[in-house]
Order: sequence, then C-alpha cells, then structure tokens
Amino acid sequence: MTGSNNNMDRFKDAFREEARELLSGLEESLLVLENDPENQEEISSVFRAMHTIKGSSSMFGFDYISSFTHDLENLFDRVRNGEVKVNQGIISAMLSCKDFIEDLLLRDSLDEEGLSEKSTELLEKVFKAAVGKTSSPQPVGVPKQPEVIKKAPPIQEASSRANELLTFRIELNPHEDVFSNGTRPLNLIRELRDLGDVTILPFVGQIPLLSDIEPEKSYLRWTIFLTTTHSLAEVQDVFLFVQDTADIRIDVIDTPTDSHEQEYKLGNILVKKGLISVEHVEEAITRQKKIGEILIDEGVSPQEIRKALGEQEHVRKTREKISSETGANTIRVASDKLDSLVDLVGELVTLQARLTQNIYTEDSAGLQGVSEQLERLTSELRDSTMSIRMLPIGTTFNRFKRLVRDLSQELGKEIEFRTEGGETEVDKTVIERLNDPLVHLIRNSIDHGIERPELRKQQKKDGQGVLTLRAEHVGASVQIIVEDDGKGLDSKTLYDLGVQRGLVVPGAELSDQEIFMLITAPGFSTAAEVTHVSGRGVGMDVVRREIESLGGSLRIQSEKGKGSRMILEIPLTLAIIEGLLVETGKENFVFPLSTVEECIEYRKMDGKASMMEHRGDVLPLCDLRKVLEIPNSGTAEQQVVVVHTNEGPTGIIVDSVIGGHQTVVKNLGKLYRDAEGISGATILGDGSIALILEVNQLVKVAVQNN
Amino acid sequence: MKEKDTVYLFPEKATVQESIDILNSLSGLINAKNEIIFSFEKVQSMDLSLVQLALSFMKTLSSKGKELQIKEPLSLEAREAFTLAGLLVKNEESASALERNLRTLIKEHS
Repeated sequence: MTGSNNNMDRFKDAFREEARELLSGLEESLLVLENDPENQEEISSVFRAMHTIKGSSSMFGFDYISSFTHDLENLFDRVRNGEVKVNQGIISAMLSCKDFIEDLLLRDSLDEEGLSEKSTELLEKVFKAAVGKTSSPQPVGVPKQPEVIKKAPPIQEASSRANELLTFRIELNPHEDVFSNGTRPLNLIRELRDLGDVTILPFVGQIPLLSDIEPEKSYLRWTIFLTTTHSLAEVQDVFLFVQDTADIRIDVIDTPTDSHEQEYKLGNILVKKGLISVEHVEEAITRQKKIGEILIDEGVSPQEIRKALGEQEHVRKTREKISSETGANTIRVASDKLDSLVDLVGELVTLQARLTQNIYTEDSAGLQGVSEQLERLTSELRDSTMSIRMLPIGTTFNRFKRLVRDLSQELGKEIEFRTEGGETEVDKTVIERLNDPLVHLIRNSIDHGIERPELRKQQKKDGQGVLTLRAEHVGASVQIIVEDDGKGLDSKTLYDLGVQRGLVVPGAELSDQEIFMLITAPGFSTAAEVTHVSGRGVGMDVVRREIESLGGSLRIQSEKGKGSRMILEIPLTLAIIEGLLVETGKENFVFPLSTVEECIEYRKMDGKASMMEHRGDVLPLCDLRKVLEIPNSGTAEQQVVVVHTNEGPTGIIVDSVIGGHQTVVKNLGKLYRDAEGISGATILGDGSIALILEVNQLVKVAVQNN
Repeated sequence: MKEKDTVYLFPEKATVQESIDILNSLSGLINAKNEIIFSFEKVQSMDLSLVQLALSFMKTLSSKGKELQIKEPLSLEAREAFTLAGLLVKNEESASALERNLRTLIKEHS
C-alpha cells in the first residue's frame, strides 16, 4: 500500500513539474497574443495547454484544477472558433488564472471555500473581458473525439505518455462538402507536421476529369504517418473541429516498447556461414519479384500495397533515427541527483589529484601510466558532468517578460522587451543565483531608466522604450547585458551625491566608470522618492555583491538622456573551475584562470613599491602578503599575477606560481562567508586547503588598507 | 514539328472561380496542342481546391495520351501546398519530382 502511495506521489510530482512547464509556455503564448491577438498558433497553444492540464490534473486527482481549467479551455475553444476575440482584458485575467493554477499546484490540501471564491472571481473576470458579462459563457459542447484504434499500449497509457516517441497512422477522409464550412484540410496536415515527422500519402483516385470536376468539393483523402513526442490527446486535438466534416481514424502503430530488432534474414544467415557472398545475395535480390508485385498480381489493391509500403518506410526510418540518435533523446532527472553527481565528480577530481601527487614519489612506471590514464578519464568525466548541468539562460529570460509587462503597466510606461542569446548555456546554479540580480536591474531600468511616454515624446524619443536583455559567451565567462534607452545616469549628480555621502573626496578625479559604480555603494540612491519598486538604495548594492560572490563582475556604461547598459560578467560554472595555483608564505591560493592575464617576474620600481612598469605602462600592484596579513617567508624572488579587475589590469604579488589546477570549489562556512577577497576553498592533492581568491574584492581591500 | 505551350496554371493569385475560368479557356489547348508544359512558377497562393484542379487537369491530359511536363522552378507557395497534400516529399521539392510523383499516382488510379 505504501509502495503504491509512493508511486502516486512520484507521478503527482511529475505532473506538477509538467504542469509548471505548460504554464510557463502558456504565459509566453499569452504575452505574444497581447501584441498579436490574431496569432492562431498561440491561440491553439493556449488551448492545448489548458486541455492538457485539464486532462492530466483529472488523472492525478487534482479535480479542482481540472474543473477550473475546463472553463478556460472552453473559452479558448470559442477563441479558436473565432466567436471570441482576444483582448487586453482576457490576457490580464488569463495571466491571473495562470498564477492561480500555479498556486494550486503548490498546495497540499485545498481549502475549498476560499478557493471557490477566488476561482469564481477569476473566471468572472475572464468571461467579463471575453463576452462583456459576468456569467460564464454557454458551455461549448464537448466535441466527440476521433475514433481511436489502438494496437498497444492501452489508450489511457498512450494518452498520458507525452514526451515518448509514438508513431500514429491517421486516416483523414474529408467529406465532399468540407470546404463549404471553412475547413482547410491542408491546415490540418500542417498542424500535424508541426507536431513531428510526417509521411503523407495522398489518394487521388476520386479526382474526376476536368469536365466533371466541381471545384467546391473535396476529392482527396490521405493516410498520414506521424512520429511525435506529443500525446494521443494532442494529436486528437488537431481534429477537434472537423469531426462532422471528415472521417478520421487514428491508430498507434509504433511505440518505444515495440521491438526494434533487425529481422534475421535468410541471406544474412548464409553469408555468416560463408556459403555465399554478400554480392551473391544482392544479385539474387535484384532478380527476386517483390512481394507487393506478387500480391498485386493476386488481386490486392495497389493502393493498399502503397499504403502498407508507406507505413513500413515511415516506421523503418523512425526506428533507424532512434537507434542512431539515442544520445539526442532526453530524460528527466531530479536536479538534486545531478548535484550529488557533481559532488562525487568533485571528490574524484580531488582524489585523482592526490594520486597524481603521490604516484611520482613511487618508482613505478606502470602505476604512473595508469595514473595518467585515470587523469584523462577524470577530466572527460568532469567535462561531461558539467555539461549536463548547463541550461540555456533563456529559461530565466522568459520569466522576465511577465515582470516587464506587469511593471510597465503599473507604472504607466510603454516598454518593448527584447531578449537575445537565450540559447547561451550556463551552469544551472549560476542561472538560479542570477535571478535576483537580474530582477533588480530590470526593475531599476523600468522604474528609473525608461521615461513615461509623454516625457519621451517631449525629448523626441519613441514613446515606447526598449529594454534589452542579452547573453553571450565571452571566453570562459558569460556576459549578460541589461540595456535600456531611458534617461541614463547623470555623472555630475552622482559625483555630488558621492561627495555628500562621504564616498568621494571633494575634487577627486574619477573616471565615468568609477562615478557610475557609486550607485552600487550601500544605501546610495538617486531616486527622489521611494516606491515599492525601487529607490531604497539597496538594489544595486545587493546586485554587485551577488555578482561578485558568483565570481563575476559588474560594469556600467551610460550616457545622459540616451540610456544605460549594465554588463554582468559571470563564470560559466561554479562547481569546478580552471585555476592558477600560487604560493605565498606557507599558504596556497587559487586564482580563477578566467581572471588571469599573465604571470611576470616582480621588478621593484625605484621608490614605488605599489606599482611597476609593464609593457610600457604603469601596473598597479597589490601585495597578497600585506592584504591577507601573511608573515614574510623570506623569499627573495617574487612573481606577479596580472589579473583583470573592475579597475583595470592589476598585478598581485605572490611568492611563487605553482601552475594550473583543476579547482573543485567548496563553499566557506557561514563564519567566513563575508571574508572579503576570498570566494571559496579547495582541497589540494596533498589534502591541504587552498583559498580561492576573488580579485575584485581583493583589490578593493588593498585600496582601503592604503 | 511539335507545337508547344507553357501553361501558367493559377497565374498569381486566383480565386477558385477565376481558376475554373482559366482552365475552361485552356481546355481547348488539350486538344489543340501536342505538348503542354505546366508552370507553377508564379503561383502566390494555393489551397487544396486549386491543388485538386491542377490534378484534374493533369489527369485529363494524361487520359488523352499526352505527356505530363512541369517546368522548374515551383514557387514557394506551390511547393508548400503540394508538399502538404503529400504530392511532394520534403527535401525533394522540384518540379521533376512532382512530375514523377503525379505520373505514378495517376497511373495507379487510371
């Protein structure tokens, strides 16, 4: 009993996850429809999302969700029929309904009474927007589903098995009068084609000669083979509105569970035994009369043979594709299992480093060879594991569309939100931690950056502002840019505020970048009034700290009256990084390799220990010993690691550079989390600990100490 | 010497009725000319009823023992309509492929 409960819980979790994905897609479609209300593809997509959620929720006992979505499905059924037009009110109400369903998914128990009020209120809002009255529109009769003949598995099973590759045979026979009620059979086929791979077999036998044809009648019929990850219900949806104008029959003819083994042919057996050659078999086959031809001779209709051959070809190609592209198939894995795998790989990398270090003290060439092989394998395993955790950053970008829409409406601003580079892949942990900083930046842009339409027009700008979110790979990092064409930052005002707050020494010469970065100082706000959106001066401070804790950096570019650009540079991954191992005093430290430009010998400039000449320029220096208060080990020769920081290239003086190091990042405990200049720790091959340096903070501490 | 004519079936955009008119006016060609070359180069709009008319025209031509010939290239719209109707296969969307497929189909159903 407990086992079956556990199974049901697992299925329910899977349903919740799938429903959340559908709701996320629904939100996207609604936002597209807001600007393009006639977009049939998105209207169908909203309908399908509602239909699927309704069906699945009912199957897993979420009856309340099922009943709620049923009404919304009906509404979009009418939208699809052209009876109701999409408008702003419908979109806003549907977005609230989406939030409500999302909330229902999180609940363990349902307070029916409270929910009932809320759902009634939401549905009334939707229907009022749709048909101008508060009552639910007349329910649309549930259309009868196409006739479904199933080979295996049972209907219910196949219906619920979205994401598995199924092959359907669809017999589509439109009635003669199909055109007269506005149905376009080619559009149905196009919809099927959008669901997966199709093979379309037309039957033209009923087409009359030119003298007899009536162009308003339909004469063609088809057998269509569709291989898709969509469920049976979704395939049936395509024909939802042509039940009365076409005969449709859908059979599931191939499933992933069907045997895909090659046939054991006579020729293969004889070749294997060495009795004949492959050429011999091929030559015999060319002389052999094909079974189709034999059967036609025996009276089987050529059309039936063609249909069977079409089916055979489609299924064969699909099976070949599956076997050659097994790697392209996807499976769903719980993210905590993935985290645990990465932890284990991290341990393996550490252990392997210990082995490499110890093996050379042994005088065994054999063991050293094994160790090198293990090192290569570990490295490949690490790369593969890390690549599994990479997700397209677009998943985060999409969430902001809603934020921009709601906030711009609330603040009376017109904003076009553009996203670019959503396919850029970043470690999932990085993506999760980027969410809050990006929310802050986007809210700031909308609240403080982009002006109201009337003000923009006065300044001869387009009334609609543009907010762009862009991602791209730059070396081992990803650059995320939040850009707006709003009023920009006023460097003079910022400078004066900086002086007032004691952050800038009066008269000090600061670069534009330094002035702009003042807005990231704690409590620094330029907003005249505090709103619930922003203006308390905490946002940018938090953003900078969060970005730096990710091992990244923040830069700001802006031009008064033209707009601002916030540039975030973030490492691709946080779990295992390429590092440069150095020694200072008796301690080891790791620089993230992505920050390192080069390593040079330390040459003191006459009388100026805090800088040295390098490539015809003056390089500011920061002595790691002094910053971290490490006792002098008496090393005569020192080296400089040149790193790039927010302030430009800076040299960090260390005792010696040991070399490259695969760094498994371990977080510091709570006590050390705020230690400036240190972002984490790693375990070295000999079991000792090395601290990982955060160069921007390190330089900041050095400047403060001076 | 053979007499030839290139027939621009559905010149650009044509309603069903306009197409019937075109076909009617061209039907005389079937008897008058020895060889007719179809062209779908200029078609900008094509739905199923027009695909059927084209098929019917070709079937009629074939019934009179005339060779079916289609000129390259097909317009994008014609390719899309013929592909959706299953008369062309993806990645093999040339006029010669259409000619071959139609010949097979018409033969099969004759």
